[in-house]
Amino acid sequence: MRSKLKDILLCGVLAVVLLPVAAFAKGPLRDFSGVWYSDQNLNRVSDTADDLFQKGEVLDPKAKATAPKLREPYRLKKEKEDALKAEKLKQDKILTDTEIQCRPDGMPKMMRGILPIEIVQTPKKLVIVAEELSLVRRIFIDKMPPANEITPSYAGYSAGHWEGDTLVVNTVQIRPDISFADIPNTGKSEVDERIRMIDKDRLEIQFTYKDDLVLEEPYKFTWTYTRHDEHKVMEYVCDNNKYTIGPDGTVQFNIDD
Amino acid sequence: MKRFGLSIILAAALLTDMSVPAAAHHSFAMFDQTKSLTVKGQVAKIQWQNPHTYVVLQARDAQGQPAKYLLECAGPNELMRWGWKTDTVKAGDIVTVTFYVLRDGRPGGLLYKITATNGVTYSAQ
Repeated sequence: MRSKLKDILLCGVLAVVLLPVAAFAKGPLRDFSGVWYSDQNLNRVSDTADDLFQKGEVLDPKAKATAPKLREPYRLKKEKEDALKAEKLKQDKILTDTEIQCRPDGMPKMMRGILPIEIVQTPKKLVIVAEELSLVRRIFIDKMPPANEITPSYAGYSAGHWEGDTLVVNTVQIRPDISFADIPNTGKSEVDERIRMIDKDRLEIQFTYKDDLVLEEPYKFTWTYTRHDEHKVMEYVCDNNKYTIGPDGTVQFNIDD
Repeated sequence: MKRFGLSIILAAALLTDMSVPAAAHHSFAMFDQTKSLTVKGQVAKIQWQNPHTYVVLQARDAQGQPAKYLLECAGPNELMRWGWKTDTVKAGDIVTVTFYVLRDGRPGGLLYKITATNGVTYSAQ
């Protein structure tokens, strides 16, 4: 009788200890740790999302990005801004953006930089380091706290849960001065992600950018990544920026050394 | 006078083998990517920093006058991945560079490739 009780207790202890580990180590396609390059930039080293779509390797048939549909008056405002940008470009001038000021892109653009991202995964959180400007993002495998307990930040606050081998993530509280794809950020913008591995060396993220105030419908797009663990993600502090903003809002290049 | 053979080797050439720069933290509109210069000169300084590495090159302009060029490369993280070491290019080195010129004519540009003192040509974009 005593021996049976011992066995039951032992089984209980093992279950408590091993179950979370088993859940975390369900398979290699559930560990996103590694160094990843976005396929959606000029420095890509592999197929584009379109190529993957053609091969049937991207789940979302709407992977090919289309322009976000803005509500009025935001659409008209953007039209005017685009016209101004085009006019300046004809004069070989560029209007400023966050990058030129050495400020991080924030979510979600930080996930498709020209430099790699590194994902470090533990059972309770994923830490994502974007090499560009060394921005760090954390996805907590936990419930989302109340909004008034989260300080707005470039990367926002991300909470996620697993659905099979897909990590489902919601990100809120992205700084209002950070916009994506020329979508004005009202401070209510949210980003949903479904992150999964296509195979051991390919990662896919299906994004849904949401803001009912400015968008007619959620903006959906998919980015893919290729593993390059042979690269080490390094520090990037932007301490020698030779670009300044002129009085007309355009970028000036300072050639003084 | 040509102590280091500092001279313009090829001026305003249309290059078809030079592609769009791979990476940077800004648009390249201020550089004319249809015109490049190949110049031999002496490295006055190298700034191994982000967002871009810069090579300051003492050379001569098209008129044979001394000129100091500020040449923008990719950031140090990328250069390292492309085979550069921190001492591949040093102050005092005699190097040959090819760069896209600034549209406004000032002495500077976007460094595309550089042949270091070891005879190896390194990509800078």
